[in-house]
Amino acid sequence: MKAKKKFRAFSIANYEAEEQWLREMHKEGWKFKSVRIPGIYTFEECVPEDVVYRLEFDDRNAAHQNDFQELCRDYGWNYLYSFNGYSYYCKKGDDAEAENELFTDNASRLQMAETVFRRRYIPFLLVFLLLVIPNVYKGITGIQDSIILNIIWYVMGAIYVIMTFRIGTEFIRMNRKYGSRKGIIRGHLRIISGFLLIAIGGITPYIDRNPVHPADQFLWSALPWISLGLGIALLFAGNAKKSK
Amino acid sequence: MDARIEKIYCPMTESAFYILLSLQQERHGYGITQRVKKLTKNHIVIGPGTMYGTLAKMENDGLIELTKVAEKRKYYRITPLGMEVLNREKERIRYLYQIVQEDET
Repeated sequence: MKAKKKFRAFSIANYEAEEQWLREMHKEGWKFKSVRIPGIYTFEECVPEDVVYRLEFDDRNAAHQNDFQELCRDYGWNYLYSFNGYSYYCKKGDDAEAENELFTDNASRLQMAETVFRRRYIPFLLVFLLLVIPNVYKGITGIQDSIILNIIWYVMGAIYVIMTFRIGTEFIRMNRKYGSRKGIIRGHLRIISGFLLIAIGGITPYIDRNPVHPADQFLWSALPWISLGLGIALLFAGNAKKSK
Repeated sequence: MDARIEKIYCPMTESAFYILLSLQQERHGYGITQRVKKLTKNHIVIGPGTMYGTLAKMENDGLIELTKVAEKRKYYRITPLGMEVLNREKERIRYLYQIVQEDET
C-alpha cells in the first residue's frame, strides 16, 4: 500500500480549512492515516471517493470522550485519530449537507471555537506576554547584551506577533460568522483585561526607574506582582464557575 | 423556575426545542435525531456534536435526566423542570402563531 507524507501548516483556528483539504486529498485517492508531528500528515493510497473529514476539539475527560465517540458512531462517523486535543472523524459523503457535519447549529460551532480559544490560544498568548515580550523588551533597551540571544528573541517576537494577529483574526471571523451576540471583544472583556494586566506585570520589572521616595520604591516593586496577580485572577475567575 | 434557567432557555434554540420535545419519551441521542427527522420530514438534522453538547448542558441544568445505559448508549428523559421549560416554550410558539394569524386576517 503506497503511502506519502505531506506538509501543511494549519493553525489552531483553521480546522475548517484542514477538513476541506483532507476531503480533497481523499477525492484524489489518498486517505488520511495520521499526523504525528504538527504539520506533517501521513496518507495511504486508496480508491478516490467523497469522504468527509471533521475535526472536533473538546476538553472533556476520557470517559466522556468515549461516550462522544460512541454517539458519533451511531451517526455513521468513524473515529480515526487524536492529536493535540483534536479528534478526527470521517464518513462517506452524503447528498444532504447536514449529514456531513458534526455540528448542525451555530451555537455549537461557536462553542467549539471558544473551547479552542480557551485551551490553546490563551496559553499561547500567556507565553507571548510573559516570556517573549519581556525578553524582546530587554533586547531593545539594552538590558540584555548578548547579540545572539537578542536576535533569537526578536525573531520569536516577530513570529508571535504575526501568529497572534492571524489566529486572532480567524477567531474574530468565526465569532462573527456563527453569530455571537456579544461580539468577541465585549464577550471576552474579562479575559482581555486579564491579559493587559499580565502584560504590564511582565514588562514593568524591566523598566528603568529609580524612585527616590521609599513609598514609591515599594509601590514600584510591588506593581508587577499586583498586576500579575490581578491578571491571573481575572483569567481564571471564570473557570472556577464553570462546572464540567 | 430559576432566573438563570429562564435566561438561558426562554427562548431556546431550535435544536434545543426539538431535543426537549423528543425527550418527553425516553430516547438516546441518535434516536432523538431520528425522531426529529421524522417529525420535520428530514428538514431538521441534529448532528452528534450539537446533540452531545446540548444533552450535556440540559442534564447539567436539570432539564433532562439519564435513565439508563444500554449497549453503550445513554438514554435520557425529560424532568418536571424540563416540562416546565418546554411548556413555557410551547406557549411562546402558540402565542407567536396566534399573532401571525390575527395579523393576516
